[in-house]
Amino acid sequence: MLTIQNLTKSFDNKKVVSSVSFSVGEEEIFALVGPSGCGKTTILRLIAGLEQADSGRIDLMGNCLSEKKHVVPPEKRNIGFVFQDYALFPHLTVIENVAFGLKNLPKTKRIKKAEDLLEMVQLSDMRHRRTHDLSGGEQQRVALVRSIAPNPKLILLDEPFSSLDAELRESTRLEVHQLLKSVNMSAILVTHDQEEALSFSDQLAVMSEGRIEQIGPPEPIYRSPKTYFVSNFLGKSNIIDGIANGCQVKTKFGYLQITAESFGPVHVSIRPEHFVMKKPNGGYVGKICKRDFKGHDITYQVEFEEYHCFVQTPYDCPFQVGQHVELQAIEAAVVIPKGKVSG
Amino acid sequence: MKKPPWYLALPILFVGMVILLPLGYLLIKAFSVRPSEIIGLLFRQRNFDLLTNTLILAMAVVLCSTLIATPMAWLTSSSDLKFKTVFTLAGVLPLAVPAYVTAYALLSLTGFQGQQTLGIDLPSLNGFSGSLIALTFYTYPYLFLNLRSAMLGLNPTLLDSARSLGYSQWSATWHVTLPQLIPAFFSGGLLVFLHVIGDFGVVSLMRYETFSYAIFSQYMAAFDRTYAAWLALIVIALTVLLLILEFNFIKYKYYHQTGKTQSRPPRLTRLGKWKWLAYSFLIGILFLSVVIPTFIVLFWSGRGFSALGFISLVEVILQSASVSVLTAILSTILALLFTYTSIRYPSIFFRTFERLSYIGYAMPPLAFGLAWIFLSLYGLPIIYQTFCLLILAYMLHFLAESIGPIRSAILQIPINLEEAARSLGRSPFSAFWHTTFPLLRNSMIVSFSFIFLAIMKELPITIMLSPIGFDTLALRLWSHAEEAMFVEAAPYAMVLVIVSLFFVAVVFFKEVESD
Repeated sequence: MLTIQNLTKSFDNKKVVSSVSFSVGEEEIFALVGPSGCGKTTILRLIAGLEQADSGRIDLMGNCLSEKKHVVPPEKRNIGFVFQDYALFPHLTVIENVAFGLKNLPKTKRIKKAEDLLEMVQLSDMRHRRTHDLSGGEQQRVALVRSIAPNPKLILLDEPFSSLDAELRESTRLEVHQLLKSVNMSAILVTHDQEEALSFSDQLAVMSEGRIEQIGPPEPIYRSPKTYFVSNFLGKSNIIDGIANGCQVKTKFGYLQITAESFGPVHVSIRPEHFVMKKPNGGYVGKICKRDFKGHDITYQVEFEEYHCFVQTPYDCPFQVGQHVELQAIEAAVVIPKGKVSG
Repeated sequence: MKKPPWYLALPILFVGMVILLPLGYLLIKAFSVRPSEIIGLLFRQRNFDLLTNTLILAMAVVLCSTLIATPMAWLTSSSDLKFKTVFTLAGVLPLAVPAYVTAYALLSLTGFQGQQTLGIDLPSLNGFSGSLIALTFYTYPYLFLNLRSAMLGLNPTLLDSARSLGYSQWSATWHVTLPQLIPAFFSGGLLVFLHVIGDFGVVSLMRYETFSYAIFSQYMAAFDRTYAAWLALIVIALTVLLLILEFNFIKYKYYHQTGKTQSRPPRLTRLGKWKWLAYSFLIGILFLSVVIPTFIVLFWSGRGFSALGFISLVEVILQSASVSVLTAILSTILALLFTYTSIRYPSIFFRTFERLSYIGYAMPPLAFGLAWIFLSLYGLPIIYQTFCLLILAYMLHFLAESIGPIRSAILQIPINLEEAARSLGRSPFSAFWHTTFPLLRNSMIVSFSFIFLAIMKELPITIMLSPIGFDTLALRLWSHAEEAMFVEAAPYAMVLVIVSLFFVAVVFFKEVESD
């Protein structure tokens, strides 16, 4: 329903978004994830019409929103926006905030609709409060229903959970997800939190320096990152060079299966939880140099010559620092394009 | 609740008592006649006329200041204009040209005077129109500063938010930006309004009868001081009423920003070809409010220079400056003790007393001066017409102004600096002296400058309370100008303007530095 083609935007001659294309389907939640300054918020603002693209094209349900000369102003786009700082109007009460976007309805209907929406997020009791009397989570819910109120075709969420504390973040995330699904609304979420992107979205795009690195559903992207950047940004990953020979690659910590046939020198990436540790049994042996107990799991660092390999094990793994172990891969590694590889 | 040591509690108690005392004497004097007479004094046609005159002038000045200050604040905060710091300074500089100097400049140039000595034929500017012009060009900086900081503090995502909720640029400005500027309009407007009510210099030179002017002539005529007391009470009541209205308004609509971050820098509007109109507007206002009055003053000074005049000028400068320096030092120390105690030992009691300092500031100076006269005449004859009385009145009138900068500085200094010093073995005083005090230096300089300048320029309290033989620059300027001796008045005006320009620039650049 939303299609973006070759979108490009520069600020002060610096390219912030370069030639980005993707599309979002009906009732789909799409996440743009990347480190801060990678251009993801700018993409949201371009879609909302708050910035104008240098080139490229945006279409929403068959209507062109932005092309060279033809730019629809934000108020005509019917796209909701939840801002990072919520941008609640401080001079209005909670219900006035929610009703703000319903100016085309007659007054009684406007109030009724705003009340219904507040009911939906359990904020009816707060309706006559001023927004600064609300907690962070409550403000967040008001911002959300305010943007949903005019029935937008699409809703854009810019780091909506970042100003909540960790405890509140998880529960709010769940609530928002349920709410979006219950009103069958398409949404684009911008976040720098990879875990949030993985758990919240149906599709996600990993961005770096204004470009999309990889696009797809969360699980395949996590399991087989296509670039060095993706493999390291979405969770931790071991990246190592080796010599491939068909479906196998020979590395410093043993032979690994690879997902696609390759030959010659390659870089491969493998997740720490895709290893199992064993007592030495005639294979490649490394020495445990660090053991980081985290409650529900343990992260080990195993030294093979100068290379450190991360291994994630269940909470009850008995190996201690200084012991020698052998690693066995339980998943195939992914060959990634040659790029910079650091230890 | 922590209790402050006695040497910190004492200054607050002292100020609290002393500030209410003159008010008491004003009441005593006012109610010293029979009730039937009171009704006669209170419900006179003259009171009604004075009220109308005062309110019309105040509202007109607020309106005209708004018309100047709003575009100025917008241009220096939200447009892509160059030299914004310079133009912001230009918006503050008029505070350096006392309104009565502008009034003097206007009077010396127009009407009969201008015709006789300069051969220019301008319509005479006095009465309402003259007061309006002189006061507007002096007071608009109050509104300008309030509006500018409100505009700089606006969260630009609120506009984005309104746009994404279906509002056009203009309607978003109307529904979202404007309501958020209202508190700044009100607090700036209140300052202007109070200033006009309290003004004496301009209206007396322009012969426009407001309450302040009437109190003065009533007191000088000396037949009926009870009526003067009643006029003072009416104007105080008017002030209090305004403050209560403002307070309730603020309480009702105190705007906070929600959310934690202001994520995006404000967007600057491109002026394009309107740029030249903007520059000429700002430069025009600067000319009208600062450059032209200064030139007129310089022109007259050049005409009237004489060696004898120079000697008496130096004498007056020394008198003016010594009293100002002394009072400014005392005020700064008092303000430091006052603020430190009320912030470090918070209690309702001290808070109330701190608020009291604002009464002295908001009170129309002429009424304030009159109250002190009654106090010294009937309560403490020993201080009547002494420097002690004058300095005390100055201090209590300007205390709020010296508290301002120090208060905000102390609030920024974490209390645990002193606690750390205590845990390293320092006594309470030594801890304060070596940690908090050095950090307050800049704000104390600003505070000192404020008070020094304010007292150099002060007119009504000086007129009412100065000891016989004591003269200030403002007093000389006013008494010469009052008698249309414009040449004789000029050197005093010149020195005042130079000193003021210097101090306003100093304070401005200190503030810019600390931004």
